[in-house]
Amino acid sequence: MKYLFFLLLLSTIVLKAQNYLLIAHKDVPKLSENQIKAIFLKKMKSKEGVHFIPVNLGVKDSTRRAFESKYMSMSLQRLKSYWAKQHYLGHRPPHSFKSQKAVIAFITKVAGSIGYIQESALKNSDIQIIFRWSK
Amino acid sequence: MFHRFFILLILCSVLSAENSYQLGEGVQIDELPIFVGGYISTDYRYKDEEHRFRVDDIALLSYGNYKALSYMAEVEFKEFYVLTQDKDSTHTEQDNKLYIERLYLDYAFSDALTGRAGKYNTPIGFWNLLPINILRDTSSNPITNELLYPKFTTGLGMEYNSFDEGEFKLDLMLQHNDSLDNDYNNYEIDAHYGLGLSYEYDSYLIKLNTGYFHKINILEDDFAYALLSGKYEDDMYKLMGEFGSQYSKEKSDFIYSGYLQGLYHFNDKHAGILRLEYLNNTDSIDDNIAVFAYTYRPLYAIALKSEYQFHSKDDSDQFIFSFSVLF
Repeated sequence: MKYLFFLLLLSTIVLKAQNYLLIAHKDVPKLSENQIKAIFLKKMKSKEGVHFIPVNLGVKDSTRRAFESKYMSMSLQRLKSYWAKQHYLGHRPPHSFKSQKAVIAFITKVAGSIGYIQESALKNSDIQIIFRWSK
Repeated sequence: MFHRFFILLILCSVLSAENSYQLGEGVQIDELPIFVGGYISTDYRYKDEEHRFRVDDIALLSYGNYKALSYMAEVEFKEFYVLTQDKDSTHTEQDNKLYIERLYLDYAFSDALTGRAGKYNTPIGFWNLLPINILRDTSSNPITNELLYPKFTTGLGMEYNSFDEGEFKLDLMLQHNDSLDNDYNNYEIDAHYGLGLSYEYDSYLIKLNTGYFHKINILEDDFAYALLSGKYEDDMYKLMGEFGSQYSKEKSDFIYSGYLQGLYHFNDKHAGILRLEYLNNTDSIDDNIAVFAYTYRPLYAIALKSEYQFHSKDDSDQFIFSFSVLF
């Protein structure tokens, strides 16, 4: 009975976990976690001849929060500080899209583009999945 | 006077036209690749029985790019309004001149290599690249970054940038001509040749700068300088230090200066800072400084900062409070 209760509890946790995908255009080469962070900070601009175009979701989007918590290893305040400094230096943050559908459409079409979505939003197999993670 | 109204008019029209504007990020002009922003800063200082209130900076900046070409233009009122009061008198000063803070064109030869022509903040150390109140940890700059090298360079520049698992950067600075708005620089110069190397990995950054410049104001002189900088930063802590030296050919003399600074974030909005500085010179301006500072940012782009500086040099202890905004 104890085991049954434990399994029930575990399955509830698993069911509640949200899966996320880091996706990219087909031409994007293999990347490390350090390189992904650098691409979204616009420090790393290209690799193996592919020019990167990182794309974000809106500032308050929960998927963006999940991505930043997993790959950027910077608090929201520190990211704001980073982009305020970049604004003074004449650099802009990645373009933000309002929906995951728009991110998928952009990445499917544009070479070098890279972004993130919830796994459940992916209906198209014509893009590359770089990493999958749960939260 | 006209300039002030002109700047405010542009700002108001730009900001009101942009619905999704967020403070501290600037705005895009229509769909054009042109962005506009700016900043203001005011401060109050109490030093040696004298009160001073300043509207220090009112600045407007614009930048943008088209294909491989990009530009930066920044104009600023500096010490726009200054009120000083001591035991016996009160007086005010106004400087209505609009200075050219930065004005340059960049050309990206590749993703790694960018060339620059114009007037730019000399990319030395940590503080001079972000020399405005709102972006600094404290209201004041460390003295190391005020004395050793020219803050602005007018000429050519080159940046090489490479990222694998860490970021390597090489900066070249070249001035062999008169400066733009020379009286605004900490040194009036007509030559500057500089080199910078930096490497950043994860939370660590190390940087080395060295160079030579020729000063033309008051006593003409040639100077060589070197500065070594190191920093560790995470969400809670920032530890940084810089140590540098300047050699004067005329005096055959060295200045040495350095500091160590620790910053602790109590939470997203509050931070405490302790900085220990020293300046060593054979002239009579040796100084050891301890700075205790507290910064409150209700939003990142708005900062209220206070600091108290203890100096070993007589009558130099001071309290500074500042308010600054980036838009």
